[in-house]
Amino acid sequence: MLDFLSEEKVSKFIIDGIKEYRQKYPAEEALNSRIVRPRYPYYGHEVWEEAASAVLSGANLLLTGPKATGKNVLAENLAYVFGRPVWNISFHINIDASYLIGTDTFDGEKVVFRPGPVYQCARCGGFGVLDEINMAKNEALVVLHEILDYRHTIDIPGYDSIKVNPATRFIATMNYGYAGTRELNEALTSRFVVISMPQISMENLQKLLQHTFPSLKKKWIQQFALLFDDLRRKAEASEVSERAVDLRGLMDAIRLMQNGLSAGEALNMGITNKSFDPYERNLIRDVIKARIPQNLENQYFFE
Amino acid sequence: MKKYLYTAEQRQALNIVWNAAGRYDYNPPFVAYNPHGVPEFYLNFVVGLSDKWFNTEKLFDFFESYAGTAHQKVFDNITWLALENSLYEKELPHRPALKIMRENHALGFFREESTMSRQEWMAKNNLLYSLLSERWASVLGRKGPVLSPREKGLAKRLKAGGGLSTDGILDLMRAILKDYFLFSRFKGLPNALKFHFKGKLADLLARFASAEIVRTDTLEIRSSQGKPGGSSSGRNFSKRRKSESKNEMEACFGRSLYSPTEQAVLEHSLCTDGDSGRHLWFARGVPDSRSAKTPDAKAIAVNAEKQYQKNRSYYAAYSGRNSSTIRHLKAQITGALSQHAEPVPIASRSGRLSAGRVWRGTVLHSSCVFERRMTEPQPDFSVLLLLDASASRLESQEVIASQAYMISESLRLCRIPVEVDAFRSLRGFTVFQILKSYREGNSLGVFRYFSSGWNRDGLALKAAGVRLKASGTGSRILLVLTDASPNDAEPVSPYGNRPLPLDYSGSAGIEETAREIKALRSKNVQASAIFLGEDSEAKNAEKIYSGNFVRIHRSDEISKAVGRLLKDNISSLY
Repeated sequence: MLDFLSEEKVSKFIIDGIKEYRQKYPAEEALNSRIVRPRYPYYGHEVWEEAASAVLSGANLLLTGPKATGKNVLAENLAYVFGRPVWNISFHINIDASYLIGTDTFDGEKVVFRPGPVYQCARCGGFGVLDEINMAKNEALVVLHEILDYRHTIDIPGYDSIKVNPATRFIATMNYGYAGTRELNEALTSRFVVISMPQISMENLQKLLQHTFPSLKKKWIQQFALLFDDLRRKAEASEVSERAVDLRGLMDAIRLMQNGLSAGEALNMGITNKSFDPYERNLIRDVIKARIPQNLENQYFFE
Repeated sequence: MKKYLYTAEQRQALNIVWNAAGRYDYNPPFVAYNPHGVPEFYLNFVVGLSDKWFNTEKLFDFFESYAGTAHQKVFDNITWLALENSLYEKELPHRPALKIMRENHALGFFREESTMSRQEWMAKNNLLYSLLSERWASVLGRKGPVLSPREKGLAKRLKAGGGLSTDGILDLMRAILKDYFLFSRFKGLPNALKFHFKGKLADLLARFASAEIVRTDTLEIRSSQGKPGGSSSGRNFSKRRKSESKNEMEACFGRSLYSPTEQAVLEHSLCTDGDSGRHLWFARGVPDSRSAKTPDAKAIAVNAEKQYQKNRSYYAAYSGRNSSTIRHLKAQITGALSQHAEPVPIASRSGRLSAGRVWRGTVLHSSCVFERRMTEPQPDFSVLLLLDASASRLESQEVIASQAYMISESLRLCRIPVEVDAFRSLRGFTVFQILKSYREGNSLGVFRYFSSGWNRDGLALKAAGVRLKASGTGSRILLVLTDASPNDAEPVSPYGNRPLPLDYSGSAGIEETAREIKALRSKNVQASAIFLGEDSEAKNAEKIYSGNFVRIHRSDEISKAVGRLLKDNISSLY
């Protein structure tokens, strides 16, 4: 993966820093199952440099940006590059402090503490990915304050206060404006350094498709990338909702095509049918039709 | 007010054009439909490509140069045939799917041909149809129709190459029209000599091709309920007779919601300051022409019934898109509600130890001795949607009724109590018509909306305060659908440091209305507006609602705009 960073023209100084970090904090063998090679690489050398520098300097990262900008992909990539176990925590409206830190439970004889993902991550020196952090209520997030700031401790009421492992980093992601999201509280925001994630460029999107589907013909790689761009423009013009701008869905559709499904059916499953509005589905189908022929077999697209 | 409204099909056609053009601010001169009224995918795509590859202004000028002539329709189609070939060649290297799109279109052409009746065949323009047939047959590699040498020559020249510039293709078209149609008066004819194809003639011309590109001048659909301004029956009615007769109000709008005593108390407390001497009428009923006792009441009832039918038909015509708006708006409101939902403790096998349940662990050996806090949206607020029903809204009655219905339904589906009221002023009365009450289980009453008379916004807002209290909920939101232009035939009465009456219009009307908005806000009512007026009136809305308003230009913007407004209002309640 460090070779990949070199290919992405990430500065040598930062790559050396990552190597030092990995030597200083070698991963425990018991946690190897949590160190997962990411399915997709993150392309974009500027963001790589910003994010890696932040992690090296001990900061926690907040990745903000619209859908399909690669926030989670970058978070997974960072954890893997730094060789740390990952705890993925998806935030939602019902999340509360006990879910994050831990909760009491009954083991048949007595009440015991069952650690939550933030507690485990902080103890083991993992990378905690706080996904869609602004979906939770600000009151629920107050417990994170002392973990994220200079104190680096977790005080569990009724139990001990533990020191956060120095290898621990938290990477939060948020999409401002998603249905159900809210403004992030100023006190919490100040505990992160923020990267505003750019839209994936056409060049990087083509690289990503090429990497994920090496047998996809070059001219169709370009057409799939342009299709994604067409959908994004349509959503920006408010003609369709952001549901249509689904990079994961596009990748899934290409995978379905690789496995023998026709392009029309695959793209319906991966993208079009994610909109539940029949009128919107027609508009999405028209965009797809103008880039990808619907009924052709997979040898037309793949080598 | 001028509005651009599109049916779902029109919008779909435009989306295909925009997609090909690569921009969404392009207003195409043509869109294409098949004979069943469904957007023709390939031809609309070609229209969009013309913007991408050619100079749009020059193309527009060319189409205008023969507009209104007897051969306009044929020239349009022939020009698009030439453009199609050139654009195909230009775009193909960048879009491999175009070949299949073109072939599918050609197949569709012949499929349609096979289902045509003899009458339809006879109605075809032979030359144009032969040219189309030849073009699409050659695309499919089939044998085309038998053409005369002249037609063959024309068909060949219309296969314009991909290397042509805008000037190149327009020069080619001018030469073709001159050589084959002896047409050279490209500057356009004087207006008096022009004629437009309408009605049956237009229908006949539209049958020239099985799928045809048509000029977009029919896309702008205006409400046809008469001109805005003071010539409406409602206003004349108001100006003609000013006797403040409660009987007349009852004849026109049905019995008041309140008893005479309650009515007197309300007027005593609300018709004060600038509104002193004015009256209020809270009507629940619907004007009924059969029971109308006076000619004026009968006229109002007949017009109201006609408008009700128009409102319903208008909504039905766009029902697909409207249902989609309701779904989007509902999703936005639900999202806003879920953020502020209060947690409720629920018994659980893990979580916070519940002192009241500990005994179950030892006595019943149950591990369910904890509680979790779950969040359920339980809105404790109501919304009053207030519609300006003055004659200035005559041109957009159907649009307003549709928008109000969508807002009301979205809120109702989120279990938020909502009332929709319309207000207008007649003969010194501000009539408050309750179209849908808080308790009603559907919003169909909103289609009873019609406009007439004037709008004394200040007094209407005072009256709205009474209806807001009737909701019985802890918090209240007021949404006013308005053009922010208060106007009443009855002046602002002298009060305070104003010794003389002032016209209830312009700055005086705005001042009165702004004062009432302020008063409602001081009573913890979240008051905001959905502004439907012109640019010149936007500053009035700013003054009255202190920035707490959203502006809607097109009816399909309602979901986003109102969603945002409601989200802000709901956030302020918590």
